[in-house]
Formats: sequence, structure tokens, C-alpha cells
Amino acid sequence: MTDPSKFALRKFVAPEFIFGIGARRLAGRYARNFGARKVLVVSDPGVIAAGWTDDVIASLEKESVEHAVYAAVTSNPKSGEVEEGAEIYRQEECNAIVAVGGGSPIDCAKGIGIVCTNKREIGAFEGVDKVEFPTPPLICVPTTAGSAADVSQFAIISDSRRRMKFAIISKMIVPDVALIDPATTTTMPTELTACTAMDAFCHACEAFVSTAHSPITDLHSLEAIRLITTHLLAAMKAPDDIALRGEVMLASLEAGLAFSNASLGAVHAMAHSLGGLLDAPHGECNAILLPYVIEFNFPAVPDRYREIGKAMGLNVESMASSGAMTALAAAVRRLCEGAGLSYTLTEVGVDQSVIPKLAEIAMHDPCIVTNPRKPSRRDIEAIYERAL
Amino acid sequence: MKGPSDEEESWSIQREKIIGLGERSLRKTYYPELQQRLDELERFRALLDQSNDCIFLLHVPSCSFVDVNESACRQLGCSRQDILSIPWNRFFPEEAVARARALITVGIEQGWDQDTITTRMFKCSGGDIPVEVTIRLVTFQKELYGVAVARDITERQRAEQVLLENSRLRRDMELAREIQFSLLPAVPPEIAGIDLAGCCVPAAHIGGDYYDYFRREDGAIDMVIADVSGHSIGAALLMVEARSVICAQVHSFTSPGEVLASLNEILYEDLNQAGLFITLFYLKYAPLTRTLTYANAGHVLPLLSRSSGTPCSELDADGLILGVRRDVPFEVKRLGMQPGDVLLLYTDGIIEAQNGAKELFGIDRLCETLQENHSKSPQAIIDAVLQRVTAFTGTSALEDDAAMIVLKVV
Repeated sequence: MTDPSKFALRKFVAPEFIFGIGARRLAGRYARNFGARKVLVVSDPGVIAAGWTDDVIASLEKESVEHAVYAAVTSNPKSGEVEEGAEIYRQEECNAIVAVGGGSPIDCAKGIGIVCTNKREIGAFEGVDKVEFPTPPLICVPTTAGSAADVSQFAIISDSRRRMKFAIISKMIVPDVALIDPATTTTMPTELTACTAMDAFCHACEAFVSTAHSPITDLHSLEAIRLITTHLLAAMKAPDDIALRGEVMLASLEAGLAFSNASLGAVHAMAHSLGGLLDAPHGECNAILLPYVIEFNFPAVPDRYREIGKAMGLNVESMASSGAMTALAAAVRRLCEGAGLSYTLTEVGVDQSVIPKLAEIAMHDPCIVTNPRKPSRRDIEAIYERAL
Repeated sequence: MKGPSDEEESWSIQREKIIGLGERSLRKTYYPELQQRLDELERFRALLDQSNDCIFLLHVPSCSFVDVNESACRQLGCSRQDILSIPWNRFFPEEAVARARALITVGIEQGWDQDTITTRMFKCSGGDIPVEVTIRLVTFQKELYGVAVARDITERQRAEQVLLENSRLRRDMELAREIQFSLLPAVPPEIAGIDLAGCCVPAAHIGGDYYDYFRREDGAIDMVIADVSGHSIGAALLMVEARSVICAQVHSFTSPGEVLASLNEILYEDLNQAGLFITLFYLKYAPLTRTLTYANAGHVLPLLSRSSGTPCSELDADGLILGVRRDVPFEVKRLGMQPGDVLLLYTDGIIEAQNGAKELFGIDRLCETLQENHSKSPQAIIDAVLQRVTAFTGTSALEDDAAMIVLKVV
């Protein structure tokens, strides 16, 4: 019998998106149709070097849409970068934004949009539903298969002064269109491929067990888990195989649609804390923490985790709960190892002394509120300690 | 410090919002802002349409109007659609178009971005309107536009014309007054046994006051003081005519009554036609016998101040105003004068002078002034009267002309 809680109120918001090879070349047409006279192109040096930014600029020029470029975005984009980009946006009299890159340029672009129409500094929008005025049209061309910032209602910005990441969660910052082109992921280095894909894997897992999950997000979560488990390692071995890249990119998109609507959990809350305090790479932190969080959460929603195990191809149905949990955690660890991400928190610079601080910040992250098992601060500290 | 239940509640509220069920968990939409901007635009449009000026927006590269306000449609008598489809230069004469072109072509380079042209604007329905057009060049979205505001100057031109005509008329009036004043005696004649003084104070506008003296061969002197009704140029012209007639007739008659009767006969036609009248007091003084002989045609009565100190009295004689009817008899009276007696002839401008409270100066104040200054010379008496009138009215300019003659027997 179906549990009526399956039909508790849920919303599903997704941008218009075009998925497929060559999607990036449609940026100019969309910009023109959105009424753009001059767009601010937000990107980073790595993406520019790979040539994807130029492709997008060429499509703008083809449609006679002027542009200015802000490409000084770093990973874990800083609030200062948001303000810098917004200043260029205003000076250059832009009226639309095109983000080309991974999660960092896209989140930075979201921040620039918020600041430009809401006229306050970016820190003022921390939290849920704090954005009052619609941002300028935002076109996203993701060049990594992981963050899914191009379809999500999240923007994660680092406040370097407070040394913490803060989340801006608002339907207002869901981009106007995502042009998702698997071709752009072919230039990703192996390690970046691994990190971003494990970020997507985390999105899918956390969304699936989230207390805000829904039947629709479940479909996308499980499919993303299946796709990554099946194709990630193959894609890493054949980086130029556009079809394998496409499978991973599709996984990223589906994981994005899931987590943007179902939100996340303790892994992301804890990873944000690490990224803010130590500027540690987001994907790595997720990969390190995920198995420990599964072990913590499993008793609260064992059946949900069994579903994840099935999607990963594990034969968990015949197992007892503890066996299933161990098998799932081991499968995730194996996947990480296969992808070359067998680190510990110690290796990214964490030591015992910062753990209380990390736990305190994580407890205030909005992602924590949808974790299936409500942790205490001590619980979080214990997870960090185990991951050292 | 937050308790565990507070934290529980805040987590649950936050979770609701993340799911998207918060009051402001809305997807981006520009429609509310669009609606607000459209409303603003509509209000702004109403504002422009309410203007009496015609406002045109000219797109410079395509040389066509891209927007006009309601007032332009109304004044040109064409629909908005028509104005936008007709080339802009068809609404203005060639020279105005050339000025506008010069502004567009060379103005920009020379940092000159506006011009005001007085010209005409052609209506669709035919005919034209005189206008003053102010053109300003502005750049929107990198395109050059001209904002032209055309103001109908029909009324202004009419007012300017009236002003011009008025100033011409005023000059003519000045000249007429100068001539009129030059016809009055410059100085009184010197006659043994009497002192004489006369004056005429001009008012703000032209009038018809007049006085004169005529020496007789028998040593007598005739004096006349007159006032033509009204303050028009007509009154002034008739005063001049009356003066000519008096000068011509005065020596044909000896009695003041005959002089007045003759004047009435001659002037009746002209006065009647003009709808004007003349009041006039005629007086003859024979120094040898110290006798006054006088007749009155409805004029204000002269005041006599005797040397004996009796209250001042009026010289009265029956007679109708000149110009009312023909064949009028004028009573002639005689009066013996004594040395020291003072006679004041005046026109109504003196006694009808008003103060701020709309009170008239009146005969009583005039008598008082005359008696107080009885011992003085005629000129000093005139000065005293004028001073007293000025003090009374509080202004130096009189509403009406005022003339006076003072005769003092010595």
C-alpha cells in the first residue's frame, strides 16, 4: 500500500535546457531573444584556455550581441569576485549574463545578477528566498559534468573575510536557459572529471534520501546514480569519447534536477564548511565524506539506501540492514578509488583542532535541514573525525 | 540561546521554503515589473498627451517621426499613423528643415545639440500654424534622435502685435498732448489793477480742459475756462475746435452771454455728432470800474474770496451746457470787486480728485484752502491748492486734468 506521505506537497522547478552536442553555439540566439544588448560573459582562465568561452563569444558576435568579459573567477568563488563582476556589468552597461564554465563561474554569475538588480552586497542574500527582484537573463553553458549549477536554485559563495561558504537558495536564481553540451567536458583533466562526477553522484544520493524528495526527483536521482556507476570509469579511460562524456553529463543534469528540488544533506553541509574554511576542492570533500554520512544516515532510511544500492547494481535485497549498509559504503568507496579519489580529510589539510569549528558552521548550513537523520553537533564532529 | 524546539521549528520552516512552499518561493518572472513599467509608461504618455505643445520624436538615421503626442495629432489634424508615415520635412517650410538638418549634421560635431526655430507647421487638413520649435538631439541605445517640441505662437504673435500698436498709439497721444498744452497761454497778460495766474495739470491720459485770456481794446480782459466731457482723443479735438471758435468769435461780441450763445450755435452740430458736451465759464473784468461781467454754460461755479473775510461764495449764472440744444439764452451777471478780492476759476478735476477711501476733495476743502491763502499771490494760491490736492490724494498724478485761473484785485 502506498504511503500517503508520498503525495505531500512538492514543487519541481527546472530551467529550459538544451542538452546535446553543439548546444553551446546557441548562446547568441538565446541572448538576442532575451533582449540582450550587451552581455557579461563570466568565465575562468581554464575554460578560456580550453576555447569554450571563445565559441560562446563567437555565437554572440554572430547575432550582433555585444559583450564584456569577466574571467577572474577562482574555484569556490569569492564574494569579492561577485562584486568585481557586478562592477564590470554596471560599467559596461550590460543587460544579460552568460556563464561559461563549471560551478564556480555559474555561481559567481548568479551572484552578479542578484547584486545588479537587488542593489545590496551579496552577503545580504544568504539563506532561502532572500532574493527580491528578478536577476537579469542568465544563460549557462556548463563545462563540467557535476555541479549542475546551470539548472539549480543554489549559489554557493565564499565569504573570504568570515572564511565560510554561504548558500543562496532561491527559485529566482534558476537560470533562464542551460545549454548543456557534452563536448565541453572532453577537455576536462582526469582528476576534474572524477571530482565533478563524484559531486554529481553525491547530489543524486543526498537528494534521494532527502526529507524533501519527491517521486519526480527520485526518478532523476536513481538514473543519475545508475549512469555514473556504469559510465564514469569508462569515460575517464576514454576522455574523448563523446558518447561516454554525454552519459556522465546526463547524469550530472539529472542529479541537478533532483537536488535543486529535493535539496541535499549532511555531506554538502559539511563539504561547504570545509570549502569555506580551507578552500578545499568541493568534489573531493564530497567523495571523502559520502561513505561516512551513509553510515550515519542508514539506520534512519534503510529502504531508501537499499534503492541506491540497487541502482548501483548491488544485490542488497537479500542482505540484512547492517550488511546492506556496509556493502553500499564499500561500493561508494570502490567507485571513488576507481576514480582516483581515495583521500582522507587529513590529506586536504584538516586536523582535529578545526573540527569543532567545521561542525558548528555545518550545523548552520541550509543543506543540513533536509538530511534524513537529524544530527547533533557532536554527531557531525564524529563524522569529520572518522574521515580524518 | 536557541532551545532545541526553536531549532526544530526553524529547520522545518527552512525545509518548507527549500521545497518551494514559502510565500516568496517564486520562480523568476519579469511580468510584475513589466506591468509596473507599462503602468508608468501609460502615466507618462498621459502626461505628454496633456501638454498643449506638440511633441515629436524624430529618428535621425531614418529621417522619420517615430512618436508624437496627442496634442500634435490634434493640432495637425492627422492621425498618429499618418504623422508617422509622412516624411517629417513635409510638415515644415524648407528653411526650417534646412536649420534642423544643419543641427543634425554639423551641430553634433561642434558640440551644439539644440536649436529653436520660429516657423510654421503645415496641417494635414491644409493651412498652417505659427510655431516655435525647440529641437534637442539625444542618443538612446546608440541611435540619434531629435526631440522636437512645437508651441503654437498664434496668441503670442497677436499679443505682440497689440503691444506694438499700443506703443504707436501711446506715442501719438503724447504728441497730441504736447500740442494741446502748447495751445494754452504760456504766461498770463499783465493788466494794471489785477494779478493773474493760470495752470493746467495734465492727468494720466489726454483730456479736454482749457483756459485762455483775451485782452480787449477798452482795457478789459476776458477769461474763459472750459472742460470737454470725456477723456478721449475726440474730447481733445473738440477742445481744440472750441478754442479756435472762441478765438475767432471773441472780438465780435462784447457781452459774455452773446459769446456763449454764438459758441453754442457754432459748436452744437459737432458736439451733438460726437455725443460730447462742453462746460464753460466766461468772464470779463473791467479794471477801471472793477466790474466783473460773466455768463456760465453749466461749468463748476468759480469761488470768490472777499477781502472783507466773509465766507467764500460762488459766482452763479443760469445757462445750459454747450451742445445740448440750439438757441439757448445765457444769463449775464455783474459783480463789483474790491481790492484784495480773489476769484478762483477751476475745472472739476480739482474737486473730484479722490483719496484712497474714495472720498472727493470737494468744494469745502477748496474754499478752505482759498481762504487760508487769501493774502498770497495768485500763483502761490494755485500752488497751495495743488499741494493740498496732492496731499489729499496721496499721489501726484491726478485722475483727471485740472485747470485753474486765479484773479486777484490789487
